[in-house]
Amino acid sequence: MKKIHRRQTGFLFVLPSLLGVLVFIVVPFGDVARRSFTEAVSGAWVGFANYRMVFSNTAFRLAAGNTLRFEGICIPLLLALSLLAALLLNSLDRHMQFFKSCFLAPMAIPVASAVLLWKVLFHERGILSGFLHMLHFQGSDWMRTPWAFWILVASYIWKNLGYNLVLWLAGLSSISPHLYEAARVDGAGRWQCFWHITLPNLLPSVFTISALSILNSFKAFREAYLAAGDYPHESMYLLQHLFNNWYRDLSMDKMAAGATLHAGVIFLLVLFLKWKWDS
Amino acid sequence: MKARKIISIVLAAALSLGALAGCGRGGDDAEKSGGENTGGAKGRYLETDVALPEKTSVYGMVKLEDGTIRIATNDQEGREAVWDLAKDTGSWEKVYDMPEEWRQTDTFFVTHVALSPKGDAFAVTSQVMDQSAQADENNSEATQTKECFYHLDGKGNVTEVPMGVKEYAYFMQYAKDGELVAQFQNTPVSSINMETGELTDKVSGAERIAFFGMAGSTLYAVDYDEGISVFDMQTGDPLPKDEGLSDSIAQSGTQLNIQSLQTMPIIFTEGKEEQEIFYCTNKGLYRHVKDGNVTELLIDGSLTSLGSPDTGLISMEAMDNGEFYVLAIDSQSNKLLHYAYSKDTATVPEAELKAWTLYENSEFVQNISQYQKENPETFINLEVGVTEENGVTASDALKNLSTEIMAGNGPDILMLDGLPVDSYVEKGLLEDLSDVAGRAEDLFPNLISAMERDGKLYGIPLRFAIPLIEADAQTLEKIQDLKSLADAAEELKKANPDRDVILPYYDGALLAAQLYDVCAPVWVKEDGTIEKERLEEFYAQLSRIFDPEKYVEMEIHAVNEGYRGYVSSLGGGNLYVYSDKMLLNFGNLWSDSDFSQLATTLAEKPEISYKPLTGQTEHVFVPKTIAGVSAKSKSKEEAKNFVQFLLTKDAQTANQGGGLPVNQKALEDQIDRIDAGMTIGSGMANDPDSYVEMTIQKPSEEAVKRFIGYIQEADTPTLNNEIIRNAVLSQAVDCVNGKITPKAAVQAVADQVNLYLAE
Repeated sequence: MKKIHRRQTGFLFVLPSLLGVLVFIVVPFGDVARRSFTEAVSGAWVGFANYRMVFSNTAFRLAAGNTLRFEGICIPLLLALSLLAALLLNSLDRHMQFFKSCFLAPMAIPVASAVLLWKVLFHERGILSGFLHMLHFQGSDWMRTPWAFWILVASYIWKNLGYNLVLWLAGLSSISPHLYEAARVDGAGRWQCFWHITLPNLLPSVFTISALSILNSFKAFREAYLAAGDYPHESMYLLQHLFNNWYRDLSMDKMAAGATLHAGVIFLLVLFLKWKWDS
Repeated sequence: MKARKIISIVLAAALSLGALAGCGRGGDDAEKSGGENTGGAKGRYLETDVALPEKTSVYGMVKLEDGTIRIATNDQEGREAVWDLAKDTGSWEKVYDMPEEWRQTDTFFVTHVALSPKGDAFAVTSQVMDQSAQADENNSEATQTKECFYHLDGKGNVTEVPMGVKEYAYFMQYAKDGELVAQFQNTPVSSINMETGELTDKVSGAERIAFFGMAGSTLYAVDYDEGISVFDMQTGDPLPKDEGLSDSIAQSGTQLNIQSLQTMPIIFTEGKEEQEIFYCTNKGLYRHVKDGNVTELLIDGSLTSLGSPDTGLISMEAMDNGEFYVLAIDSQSNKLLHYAYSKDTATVPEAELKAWTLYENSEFVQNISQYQKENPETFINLEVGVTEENGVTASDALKNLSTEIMAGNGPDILMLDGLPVDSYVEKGLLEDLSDVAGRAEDLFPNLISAMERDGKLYGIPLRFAIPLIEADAQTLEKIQDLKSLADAAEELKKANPDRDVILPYYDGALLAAQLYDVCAPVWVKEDGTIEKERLEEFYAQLSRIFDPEKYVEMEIHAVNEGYRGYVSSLGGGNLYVYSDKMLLNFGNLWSDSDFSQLATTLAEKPEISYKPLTGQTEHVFVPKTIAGVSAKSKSKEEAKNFVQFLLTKDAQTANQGGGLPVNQKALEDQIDRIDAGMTIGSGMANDPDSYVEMTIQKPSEEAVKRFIGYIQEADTPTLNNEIIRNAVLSQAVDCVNGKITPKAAVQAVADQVNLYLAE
């Protein structure tokens, strides 16, 4: 009886945010999913025609491919680099706070400023081209070359490394130092300690950090959009670019189908991570 | 435990309610709109035009002490006269003619006539003294004019006023007590003594006054920073700033910078009550109590001609019965606008049509004013996507439009320029306007039918431009397409190494802009990708036409769209062909002004001829201001009626440089009103030798007929796509300078454009 009361109390505390999520996310998304089966303006039922249209759309295929590529490269890279940085910082006795702040600083930089930095660095007459010119190499408008994708990747890593680092550090701090002491007494080296103690103990954090990284990765669009507009170099043309342009052109039908597919893929990915974590 | 439970429930409920508080559907707005809802309230000032004496232009207007409206005019024969508006019949009665020797000639004219409420008048005449110097030197400073000043009594008897002033008179106006206040060039606002001609400073401590107005015992001086200073008419002393007046003017968004010496951005008059004044701007006519905080909008400019962009204000009078007269001028003639209160007319027009345009369009705004004047029960609510004030990008403006359409609040009428028309048609958003075009009279049928898709007309161009080429007749005969144009350019280069073939100030982008419209229609394949071979040919021929040795870099670092539009038009190079400085000129003919230059060239240079420009396709025209009606509109028929009005001769005669009218009669009317005798000139600031000028001639009937004939041949609308246009132009400079090959240029364009086309 007491347990049931506790559950009810907990439910009441969760209720406000649950209602918020329902009203602002679940219900609108339900409407988007409904619209993915209708015509944009007339609202007439069209079955899977919008999905067929989306799958046959070369811009969608390119954007989906780029987005997958971006996620596939960025997420593992970010997880690995941030873990490495966290391990290094964790081993420091002094100045840890200072370096942590340094890693977190990019998060405090407004998007508009970051975009300005991109432009100064990567414009045809920017710092990078100027530097290359000094070395007698040809400069370029880097945002209009295949390098644009890697600039986006670097920007994402630079911006989010500090956040993931803090999450990893929280995970590391929860590992009891006695485990390491006992292992060292038994003759374990650094690598063995990492492999057999640190990593297994960090596994519960991996799900959370991965999910957050995936969600944060979609924010990279802001920089890409502000720096290169509606039509960036095709290597960094992401799904959000396409949805943005479809919205502009009143192609709500295609946008709804694309967004439903996109959400479905993310949902499955998160379920997969959860399943791996639970198992 | 119980207390904790209660607290948790209360907190949860509070948070839930808080979270949902913002979900109400515009609770505040609903309340606000409910408060503002006039709920069928009646009473509004209605505007009517008072017919002026036939074929006259008006110098000024005044309300005499007995309440009669008096005007001073100049007729077609150059005679000046003074007229009174008869109170009983509403007709004009001539009070007197001004002296016969004041008849306007090429060298003599009356520049100002100020009318006094007491019945007398003051006139300024100007005599050109040294015309030979002007003709010889092309130097306006060499022109000597002599200005004379005259007082006319109530019967027209003239007395010369011996004024010593040598400066040009800017503004002059009688105060209600009969004192003449004037502003001369480089001279403060002054009072004129009619007997001695002596000028006395009217106001003290005022500098940099741009213009002034008077209302009762107060003089309002507007400076060049658009600030308003207030002075006592009796003493000339400055009075404390009328903050309420300044604030209300600023809040209405009125710009007080003066654009001409004929009209003013704000005019004043006094009311019946001691502290009451009225002022009028393009935003409307307002009542204000001096030094008060409240200003009342009596007549909304957006519902009348006052809001039309071509309306310039000259003077106004408030009548004792609450009516108003406003003397104004539009692009064609003077207007005397009369405003009378109609207590039976809805305060706010009951019918509303929402119109949407991506960019500001003066002709459209002018047409809206015209329509509302004729249909006072309808309000056209115009929304402009991108304005100088809102700083919104075109892309964001289109997203806002999408939001409104999807929310069911979309516009009834859309100007389709810059809008994703293909997508709108595909989505069924646009109504078929075939019936509207069918009912409209005197349109160029070829220009309308060329816009049809699958037998339906989703957009009707209200304006257009036509690409033309002018050169000597022999060369012109050889030019049949883009390749032969390049051949001819190369031949001319070889034969005339010391002369310019095309304008030397055009870089690759401007040259590409001149030829884009006659080539672009063939660049997009049916599958939605770029036709690379045709585009490559375009760049290759462009490189042949361009002459890098002759190119003179302009000292203009920010060539904006407007400037690009100007220089890429036929008018941009016409003067250079006319003055034998250039051999080939091509581009879009946008206006009657461009045509007048072309016709003058043809009349004076028999060796020069012209014809429609053929690039990679022929018979091209450039549709502009394309009107569409939303299929989702709840007022479809009213919206169609409005579009039909836009196609009438009256509406099409509006001319703000936005293109030629699609109504043939309106075009002929525009051409008929070409200002023959006007001299135009052009040159580059960094090249004094480049200055050329032309005196415009009236086009002959034959020339007009030929021009209309060419328009009637046009049947291919250009590819109006800014993304493709910008991509093509952006590669042209490097391509014509040999930095990249045509193939590389095409690839760069395809990289930019294919994504867009694939969407």
